Amino acid sequence: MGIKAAARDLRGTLLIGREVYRWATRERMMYGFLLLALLFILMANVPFVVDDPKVFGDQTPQQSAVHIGFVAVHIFIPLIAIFVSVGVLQSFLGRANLTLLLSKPVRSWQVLAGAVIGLFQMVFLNWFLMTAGLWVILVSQTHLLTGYLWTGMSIALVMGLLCISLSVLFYLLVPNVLAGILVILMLIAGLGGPLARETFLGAGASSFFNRMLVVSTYLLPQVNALWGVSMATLKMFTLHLDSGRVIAQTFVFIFVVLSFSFVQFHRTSRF
Amino acid sequence: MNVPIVKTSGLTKRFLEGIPFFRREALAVADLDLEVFQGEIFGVLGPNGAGKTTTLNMLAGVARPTAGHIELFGVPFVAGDTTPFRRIGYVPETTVLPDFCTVHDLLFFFGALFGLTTAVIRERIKHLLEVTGLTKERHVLLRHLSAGQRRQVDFIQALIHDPDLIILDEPTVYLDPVILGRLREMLRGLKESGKTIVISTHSLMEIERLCDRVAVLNEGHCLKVEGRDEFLRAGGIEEEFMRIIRHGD
Repeated sequence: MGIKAAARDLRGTLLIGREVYRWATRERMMYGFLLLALLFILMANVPFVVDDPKVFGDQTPQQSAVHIGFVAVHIFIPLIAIFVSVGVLQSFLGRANLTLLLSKPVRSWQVLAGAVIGLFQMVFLNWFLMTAGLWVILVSQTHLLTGYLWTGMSIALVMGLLCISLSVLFYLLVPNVLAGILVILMLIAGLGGPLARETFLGAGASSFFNRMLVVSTYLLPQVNALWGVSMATLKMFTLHLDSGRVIAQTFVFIFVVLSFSFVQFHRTSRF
Repeated sequence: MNVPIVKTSGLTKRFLEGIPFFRREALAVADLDLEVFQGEIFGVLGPNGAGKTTTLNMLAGVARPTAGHIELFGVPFVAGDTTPFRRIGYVPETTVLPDFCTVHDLLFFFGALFGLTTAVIRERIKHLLEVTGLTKERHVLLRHLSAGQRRQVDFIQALIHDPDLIILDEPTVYLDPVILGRLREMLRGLKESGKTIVISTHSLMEIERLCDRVAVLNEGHCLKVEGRDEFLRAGGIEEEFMRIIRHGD
């Protein structure tokens, strides 16, 4: 394929991405979640007003404020990523719209890549607004222009991309709202992973069973441990985690999930 | 009218239908041989479930044939090659246009997908809106359009890149007699300018008024391909159509 053809494909993909972004930012649900998140983040003001060790322990007001904002961003970014993605995919990748799109000079991978790009743009917008909200509160209270918040919170973007990838995959397998619920169950399974690993692997399971458990009890907790990585970046906790390795693992996981999605979409889009 | 713009041989489409583990194969289109020539309006006629939409979907590249070959513009169509789509305009049976878009924005998006420049897209939109009488609705949100007007937008998006082959699946649905008359005029104008049109419709009247040749499909099989005049000589399109469906060729 020549450079000209590649540039044309890229242009088509970005055009579809822009269109999906427009579809996503018209979802009322997104604004509901964003408003709730911003209200939650507004509470980061409280530790500066109520500087009481009985309430916030031995943390400084700044640490408590970051903690509150951190929790808000890490709850609402996955929620927005999952539910808005599934909503947009239902209409954008619905049979009627897909028929119209695939009759144009675009390949099926461009449609799916455009959808992922558009959804990621939407998550980025939400992440930016939430982080900016928290940053404004911190700057206004401490009068310090620090950048650590942005680097620390960037982990939430990785989490958002992971949620979008899983939503796309599950939507292609189960094309309805159930896809979103499955992603949430998978994330919960990841959070409960360490307990499951203790329970099952400690009982001397067969090697086949061990291998099966690798994804659910090892990889996913690692992905979820990204939250912990962010905490370490924010100097909230001392964690003995190799953050680079975990982030690399997550990107590999996202790559595998998206690759499988592209294969599945290529198989089924042109019915 | 000697150059076959569309040529199919042994075109077959089978679907799997039913719930998982209990799926069975259903035949939608069987061994279809068609030739559509440049500058003609070719009608595809048949009762519900005859395989008309599936046939058009395969010609537009939206559905993959299970067997058989398609030639478009004299070149064998290869799966994954999007080149022929640059010369095809397709109006599907149903569309879900995004409510929040204006007519102009939506048409601009489709024009950009074909790689047209901004100036060309603007010019095409202006021209097509004038022809269809939708100029005033240019910056109106799609949600505020009537079903008929939305159907016209479907039609315009298929013509935005000035295609050589136009495939229309039930284009007359929702259209009032005035818009219908305008559409007919437009299709005749396109035919006169050398465009090839494949149209599927339930309306025997439209077939009678517009088409040069007609293929009658039933249960996935092509029962007959005949010129409009032959149909009329045999006692009218409706009588001939009913006879073919009841008794075969």
